[in-house]
Amino acid sequence: MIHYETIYIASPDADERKLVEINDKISELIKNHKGKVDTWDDWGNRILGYTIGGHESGHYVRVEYQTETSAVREIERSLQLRDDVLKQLTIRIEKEK
Amino acid sequence: MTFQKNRGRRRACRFCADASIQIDYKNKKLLEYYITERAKIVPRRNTGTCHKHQRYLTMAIKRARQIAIIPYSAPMF
Repeated sequence: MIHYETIYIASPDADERKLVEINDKISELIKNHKGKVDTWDDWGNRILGYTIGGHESGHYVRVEYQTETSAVREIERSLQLRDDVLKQLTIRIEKEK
Repeated sequence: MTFQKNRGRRRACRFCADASIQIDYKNKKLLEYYITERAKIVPRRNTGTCHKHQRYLTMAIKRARQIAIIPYSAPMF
């Protein structure tokens, strides 16, 4: 199992229901690959460093999880297909021993 | 923030001096200190950062740019 961290920026007009929908999809994909979610971190609305698709701000959500590599590809793809996700970034975290 | 070249005495690397500071791409406040007003990365000859930590900083700044925490460039006025 490898530790990963995904941050996605949801559109500022996305309501609570849509965010829950995205989060459910992510946790479902992780579960399907026998992974485990470590932390959910909601940063709320933040001003972006630059405009994305005309938006000045966005809703940041960070997920920390451990899973197989195959799940990451599917999570990235499912986020990419959504209109209400402006941007996403997945990185591998080195756990200190 | 501007950096003056300190002639004569070498500036110590901030991250070597204080090991409790973690270089993290999510830490906007820390990264902003190491970019210029035009959002360029400040060279280590100006900040005194050691080679190892400058590499980590560069990586963190580039990641932060990707996820729009800090800008790629700032407009010229």
